[in-house]
Amino acid sequence: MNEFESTSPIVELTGVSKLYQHSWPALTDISMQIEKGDFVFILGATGAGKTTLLRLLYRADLPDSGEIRALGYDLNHIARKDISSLRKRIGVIFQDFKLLAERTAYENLEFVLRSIGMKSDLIPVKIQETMTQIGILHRKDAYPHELSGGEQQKISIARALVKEPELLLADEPTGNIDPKGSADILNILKDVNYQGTTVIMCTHDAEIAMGSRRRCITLDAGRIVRDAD
Amino acid sequence: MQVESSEMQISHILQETGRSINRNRTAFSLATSVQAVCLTLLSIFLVLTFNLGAVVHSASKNIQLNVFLSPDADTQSLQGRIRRVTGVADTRLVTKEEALAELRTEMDKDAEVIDALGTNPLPASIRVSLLPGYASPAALASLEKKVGLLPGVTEVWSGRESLSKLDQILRTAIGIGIAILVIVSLSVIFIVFQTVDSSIVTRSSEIEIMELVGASRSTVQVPFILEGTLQGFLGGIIAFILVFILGRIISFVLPAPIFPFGSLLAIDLVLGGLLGFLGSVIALNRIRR
Repeated sequence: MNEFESTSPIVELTGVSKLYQHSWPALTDISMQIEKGDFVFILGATGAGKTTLLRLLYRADLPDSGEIRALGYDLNHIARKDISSLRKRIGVIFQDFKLLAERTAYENLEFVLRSIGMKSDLIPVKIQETMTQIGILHRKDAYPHELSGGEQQKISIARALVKEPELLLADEPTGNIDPKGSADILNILKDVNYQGTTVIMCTHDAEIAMGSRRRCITLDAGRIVRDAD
Repeated sequence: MQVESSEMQISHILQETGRSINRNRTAFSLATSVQAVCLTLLSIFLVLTFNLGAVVHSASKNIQLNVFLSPDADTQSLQGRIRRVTGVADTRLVTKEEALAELRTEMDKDAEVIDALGTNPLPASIRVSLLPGYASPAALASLEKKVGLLPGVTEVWSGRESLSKLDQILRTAIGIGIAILVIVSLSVIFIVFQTVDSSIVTRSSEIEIMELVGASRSTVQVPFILEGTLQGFLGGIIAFILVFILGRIISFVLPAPIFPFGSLLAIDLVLGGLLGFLGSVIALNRIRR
């Protein structure tokens, strides 16, 4: 961690705009700072720009204008080799799960830990611990196509958490889960946050966001319309 | 979080390579077989060219000038003059009687035909052995011309026409060999490219996910390069085994063909592996663009 990283916000966006197909504005003039250890909701309806915002943060996309810094990296000018280093420190819960179809639930998590270079003898322990925490251990040998939407969601969450990320980006993590399950997932994310991980959670569910009494940034048509604790 | 050593990362990459090959095993096996056939063709031609080269080399080593003399030729002086010609190593006089005795030996059972002639029709000759480097068709032609002009010489014969033909065949074989090498190389690169390219396209969403969860480029790409290299390498091994078996079978029919065991194994393995590596790197570069 460099000096800049230790003193500056973990995520900082300054005047960020993103156009899709060169004309349709997905995000317009977004500026925000998120401090290390924060739990922030990004609230907005479908198409408000939540997923685009997250994609910019894990460097799947570049902004058309503005500057983005995350975990000390200048994402506008990050070297290609540093992108995987950045992503190793970020856990992402994807809205469409993005599970490896040819691998079991266990292997999906194992791949992440092997990729980040975790010691082989620690991998089974870590996976068991995370799957137990999420409540999906009994499905560890199932392939994604054998899992329900909710179970796939949980595996996606477990995969994001298993590497103990510094920053967790969750894109509608409760989208496919019943209200009881949603509350459980939210509690897991809060626990992770208590342990020091910064969490940015996108949701369209105002009840979840407002009810959590955390900072909530509301997006509408790609613009920040509200930013309140 | 405890991080493992580079050896363990290598084992992870090898595991991913094995997984990729296993999933893609039908295409992998087919492509390896086609590659083996290509490399076998090349290997067969290499063995043929090698043997042809050995024949030409042996013929060149044994070649000598036969200088036939007129009955009144001064053999002593002629030998001295021939020895002074550049490229000549030594000379030996073969008298009429020695020539006849040699002919008798060569004709064996048919030697009585010679007796029927009543006289010895064979001329005396000087056999001229040559220095290394003077057994080429061009050098022989020049020597024949020089020696043929000496007084007392009626005819000079070296068998250079046959040597010239052999030499021409060898050059053609080398030319065809180079053409086959180029065609085989391009074919193997293309086959590996196709296999790896289709493997990458099939697994594009998986590759995207791997990159999104933080897998480094080497973790994602090296398995594809290893897959291509292994494919070429296996093709080379199969080609070598096929040619080796073929060589053993031929050796029962033809007298002792030369089988350059070590060189062929090295060529098949190195060429197969290298071309496999190139094919997969080209496929990865295309995807990257």
